Amino acid sequence: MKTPAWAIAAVLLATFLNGFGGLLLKLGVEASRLSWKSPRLDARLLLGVFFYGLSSILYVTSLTGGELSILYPLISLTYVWIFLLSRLFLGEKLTLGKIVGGSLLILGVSLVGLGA
Amino acid sequence: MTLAPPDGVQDTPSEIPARTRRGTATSSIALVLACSLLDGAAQISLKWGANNVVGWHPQALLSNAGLLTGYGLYGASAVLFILALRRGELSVLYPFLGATYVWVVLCSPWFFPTESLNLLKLAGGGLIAIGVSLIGWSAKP
Repeated sequence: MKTPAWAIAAVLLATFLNGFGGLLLKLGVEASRLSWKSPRLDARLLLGVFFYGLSSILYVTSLTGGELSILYPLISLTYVWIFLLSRLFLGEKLTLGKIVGGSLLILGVSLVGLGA
Repeated sequence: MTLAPPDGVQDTPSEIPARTRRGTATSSIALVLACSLLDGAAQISLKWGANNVVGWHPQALLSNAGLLTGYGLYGASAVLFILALRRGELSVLYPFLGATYVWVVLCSPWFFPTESLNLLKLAGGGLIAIGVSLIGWSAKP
């Protein structure tokens, strides 16, 4: 089975939407009040949920159309987006633990894809 | 576009970033690990459901127990993830979702006899577990 270009494009778009969705969820959570009595949901929280859902549909669609050994390493790009966006927009520090741990994660996810 | 909070509400949104600055709560990390278990169960359920899909008839898809359960579990996991994000850094909590791969790699052969555990998958799962642990340790407040 060959991996078509559309599956690669879909998975790349999915990684960005997933990372960006995570950023919106975090920003939205901080601006929302999550309580049963008087909830107030920030628009970014809802938009984050939407992007999250959209990215999972894109993941599933692309995974059915291509090889996991190629698509899984690309999926792990999501961690790069998360670290980048968290640092740029949330002021979260990129620590040595995150760099080393994140690299191991990317390698691990790639190996799982190669073994599939 | 913020609305005035009703009387008697103590938990003002402005308090939350202050909590985040203190580090990532262990309870939030535990919540995300619960998300990863739900996501793993969702993926196995979706795979089981997808194996039973014959054609793309909307009615057949909407009455497919595996697909419905899978998406339901994903929804529940998303709610837990949002709750977890209240007390912690996104760049610490999100990577913990990677634990999903470990559960799926370990459990898939049990549910689907055609999928076997091999050295690459095991090594990958091990690296993911170590990577996630490192991020967790380094985030200790």
